[in-house]
Amino acid sequence: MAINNVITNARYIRMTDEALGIIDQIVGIECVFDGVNTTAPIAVGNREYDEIMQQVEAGHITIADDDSEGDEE
Amino acid sequence: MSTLRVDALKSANGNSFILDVAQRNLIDNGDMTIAQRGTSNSGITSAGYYTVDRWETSIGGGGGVGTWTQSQSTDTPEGTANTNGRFMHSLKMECTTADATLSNTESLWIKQTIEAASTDRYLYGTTSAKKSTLSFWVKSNKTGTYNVVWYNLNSGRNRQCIGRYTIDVADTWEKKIITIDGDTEFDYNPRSDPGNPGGGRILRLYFVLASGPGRLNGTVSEGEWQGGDSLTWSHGHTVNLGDTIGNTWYITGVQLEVGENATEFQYHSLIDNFMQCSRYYQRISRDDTYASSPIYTQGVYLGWGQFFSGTQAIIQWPLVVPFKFTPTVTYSDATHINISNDANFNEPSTAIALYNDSLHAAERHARAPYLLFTTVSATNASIGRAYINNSAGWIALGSE
Repeated sequence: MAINNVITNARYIRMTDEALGIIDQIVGIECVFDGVNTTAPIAVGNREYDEIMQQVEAGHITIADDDSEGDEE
Repeated sequence: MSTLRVDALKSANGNSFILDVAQRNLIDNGDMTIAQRGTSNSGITSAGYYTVDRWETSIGGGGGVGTWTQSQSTDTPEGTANTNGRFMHSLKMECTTADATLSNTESLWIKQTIEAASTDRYLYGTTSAKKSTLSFWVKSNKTGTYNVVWYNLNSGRNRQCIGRYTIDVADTWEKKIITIDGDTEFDYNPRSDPGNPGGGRILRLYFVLASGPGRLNGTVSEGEWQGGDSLTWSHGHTVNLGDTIGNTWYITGVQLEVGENATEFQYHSLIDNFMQCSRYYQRISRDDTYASSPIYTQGVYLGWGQFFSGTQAIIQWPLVVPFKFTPTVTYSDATHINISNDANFNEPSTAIALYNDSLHAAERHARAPYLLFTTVSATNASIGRAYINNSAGWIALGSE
């Protein structure tokens, strides 16, 4: 697979909204995408999300699971 | 006083006169006027949007094609380029690191993606499919034959059509016109993606600037639709714009219209042009022009919202027009955005994302996006606001 974009420091972003019953839900993937701070939504068809997942599937990058934020009271 | 009554007015291309007056050009920002991301970007080695809105640089295939600086240039066709007006800007590509010997599928393109909803006028997939005509002004120090590719992304039934133009004289603005047939076999499949209110990313127009031998395959006839195969896109293309440092390629006045005649470039007002581009990218930057204003010491406000969960706040994005699809958030630095609710809480954010609950479907993201800011502990349910606290700060949503 050709690498179209340079992606580094990828990690999941989570949120908790107890009023809606949402606990620690992944809402995006934060990364540096071609040198730009970026958070891609979890949405197939989104250009950045699709590229991130292609590189994950190809084994070029991994996504850290950051669960230290968003669920603290 | 007399009254003129007619059944229909037709343009030179046989289309509705009213439609052609209002929406003749299917290309956004064809005169390269809008550049929300900036007017110059250097060190380009990979795909992305760098300067003028809606125009994507694609560099792909193994090792890429050298290194590039892209800019919104003021070098334009002079004088009587159009009787309707003049061009003030062009898109410029300049090679800063050469790659004289391209291998395999290494390639460089400048492209624009056009939404399916804009292509209904073509009547593709029917026996009445209409021709389309592309016109543009171009200049380069590299003479030779260049390819332009119409690519129809159609749910696994991709289609393509190759056009070509020749730069005859080096370093001279030339107007080029390419007309292709309509595709009677396949439509642009505009309703294939119900999750995408804009109708999907369907028609892409590629300007080929360099291509390795792996994309010169096959036999491709100009102006004829065939099955999509990116390995044939550069058949007949003779130029490697990346073979020498300092090579340049400029383009402006890009117009794609229904019919077999190239009409004069359709100018849009600045605000119309901006609104069209804003469907795909909206950016707020801190502009220190008014830094002396007392209120400005608080930075540039993005919007208001509410804290929840102890460490996060949702802030509504000040939407210009609906996005095509669920947007991506980009920003100078998360800490450049402060979150505050009162004088007792005013801290930089540590992470920014799109707020996403299970009820927030893609269409809602596109029409009413909320940003999710993570910061240090704050009082739940208090009203909060976000603002850009740094002179170099900016934040954007993009849905290209």
